[in-house]
Amino acid sequence: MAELEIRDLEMSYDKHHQILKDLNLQIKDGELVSILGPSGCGKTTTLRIIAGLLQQTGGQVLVDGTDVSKLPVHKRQFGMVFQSYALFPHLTVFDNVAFGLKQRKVAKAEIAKQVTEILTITGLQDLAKRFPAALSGGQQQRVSLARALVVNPRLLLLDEPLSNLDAKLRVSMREEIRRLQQRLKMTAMFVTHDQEECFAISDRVAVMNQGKIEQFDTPQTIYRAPKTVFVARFIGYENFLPVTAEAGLTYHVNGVALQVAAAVPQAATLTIRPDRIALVDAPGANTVAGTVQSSTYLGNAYRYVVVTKLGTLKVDHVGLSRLADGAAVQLHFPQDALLALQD
Amino acid sequence: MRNRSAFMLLLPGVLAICLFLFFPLLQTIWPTLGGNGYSQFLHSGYNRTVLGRTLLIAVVTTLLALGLGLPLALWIARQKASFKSVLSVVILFPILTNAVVRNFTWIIILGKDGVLNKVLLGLHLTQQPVTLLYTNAAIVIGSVYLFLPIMVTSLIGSVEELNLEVEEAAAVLGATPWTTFTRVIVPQLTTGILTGSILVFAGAMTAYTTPQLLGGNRHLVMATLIYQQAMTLGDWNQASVVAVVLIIMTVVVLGLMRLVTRWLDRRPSHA
Repeated sequence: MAELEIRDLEMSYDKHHQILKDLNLQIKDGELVSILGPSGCGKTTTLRIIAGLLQQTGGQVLVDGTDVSKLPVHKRQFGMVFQSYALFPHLTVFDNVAFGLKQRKVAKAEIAKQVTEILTITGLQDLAKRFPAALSGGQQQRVSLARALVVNPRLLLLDEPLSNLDAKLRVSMREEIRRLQQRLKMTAMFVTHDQEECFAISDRVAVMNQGKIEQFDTPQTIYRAPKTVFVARFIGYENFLPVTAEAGLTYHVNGVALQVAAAVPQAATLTIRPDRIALVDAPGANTVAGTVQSSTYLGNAYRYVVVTKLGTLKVDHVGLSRLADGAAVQLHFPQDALLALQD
Repeated sequence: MRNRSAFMLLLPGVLAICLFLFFPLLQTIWPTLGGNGYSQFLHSGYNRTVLGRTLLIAVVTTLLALGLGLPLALWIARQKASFKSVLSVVILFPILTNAVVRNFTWIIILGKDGVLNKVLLGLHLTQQPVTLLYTNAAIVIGSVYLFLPIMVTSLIGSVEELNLEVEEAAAVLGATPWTTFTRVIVPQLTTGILTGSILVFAGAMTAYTTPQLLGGNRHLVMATLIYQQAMTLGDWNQASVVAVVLIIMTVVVLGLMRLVTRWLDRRPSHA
């Protein structure tokens, strides 16, 4: 439907509380981009500025190259799905969905046709005459989605739309959102704090921290090659080793030489996922000795906390038997699983 | 046992209602039955004027209190908690002052040599003092001032239940602020609007002190007419007739209000 560009966006409520700093982001036509971050990182603020519900203190929001910053909310022609669903409690499902079309002065017969169509697509055709209070959370969310989609918005904004649903429903709803977004070829922006959810439905993900975008990439790239400690930590890397010296692909941590697959200039930290650390029998390259401090059963694996020269590490090991506390182990870091980070 | 103790707890209230509400009511209605009190009342053009004036003042007061109270309630409900509690006390101020004092304040403001006339004359907006006091308008002004707190208090409960995101959703869907107000906010407030309007209307319809002090003897309303019939003319029977007519009119209008609200609040079906 449209391209979105955020240019040098800034937001502050007063001099001391800057919510957003020089935020830049580009979303291509028909792309679904997620903003992923912990609560309070400014992701919802960003979305509300794009929608026009908040006025930024600096920078621009461009849709197809036109600055919409001065355009009031009701003239932006976007669609938005709220965390609380925000359905009109005094209107039926049909009238909730028809609301946007009525504001656009669409003819009555055409409204009936389009509303019926979108209700069918979203599986709500039998609930048209119900009131929101008589619907389940999942149904309300569907109505909210149908209401946003029916007006054929230039941009679809989703503000943590799944966080009030139970785990099972969350998975099926996110698949449905993705399916509808692709079918209607809609440009969409999705805000969430759930890493799995956003990886599952996004073309690209912007990981946000304290008002800044730390990394903007495809889910695959972010998962395999996080650029900063914050991003790595947020998506499940749990071991962080401070670099003391570097030479080419070799980094020294507390006197231990470790080889990585890809070097990063001035790397300060090495990181590895708990499930990528291997337990081996003999010492060797990229291997360090350690002692098991404690263990936890995770279902698919055991999580060991191992004390080594590098520090205390978390290791997930799939195995039938559990290692006893105090057991001596050799930990091997596969070269391609060990990442160097700049900060 | 439980039912019995519950009944014992209810008994004082039930007795009080029977004793202090139904008994005087019956005592008022009883002597007016039989005889030609009602046809006498309705045949008098003067009485009909008083009845019409009472209705007009009550209706205008209710509408003005609603028109002023609704934005006020919306504004108060959206303030910070600490400021909100200050505002709720300030808003109740007119009820907390003595009726006579309150109305004398308005006499000072509205009188021929009053504050308002002095301002108008001083600004050369008028050459002669304007007659404000002892008019229907004066009664309305005094009544709105008195009943606005009741309207705002009734509305605030409904207003606080509003979800701000619902209004934002309307805006994103293309609704102008006015459309959002009339199509989204007001329809969610029907309960509060009805409660407030009933209280204000019933109050304005039966008020005595305000019309007595601000309307004077030439602008009688039903309540002041009752007093005149009973205390000045000594015609207790006719005073009872006026009282019963007042009760009937109040009940009829409140019933109509309820019907209108139900019609407004009807869950619209799609066409």
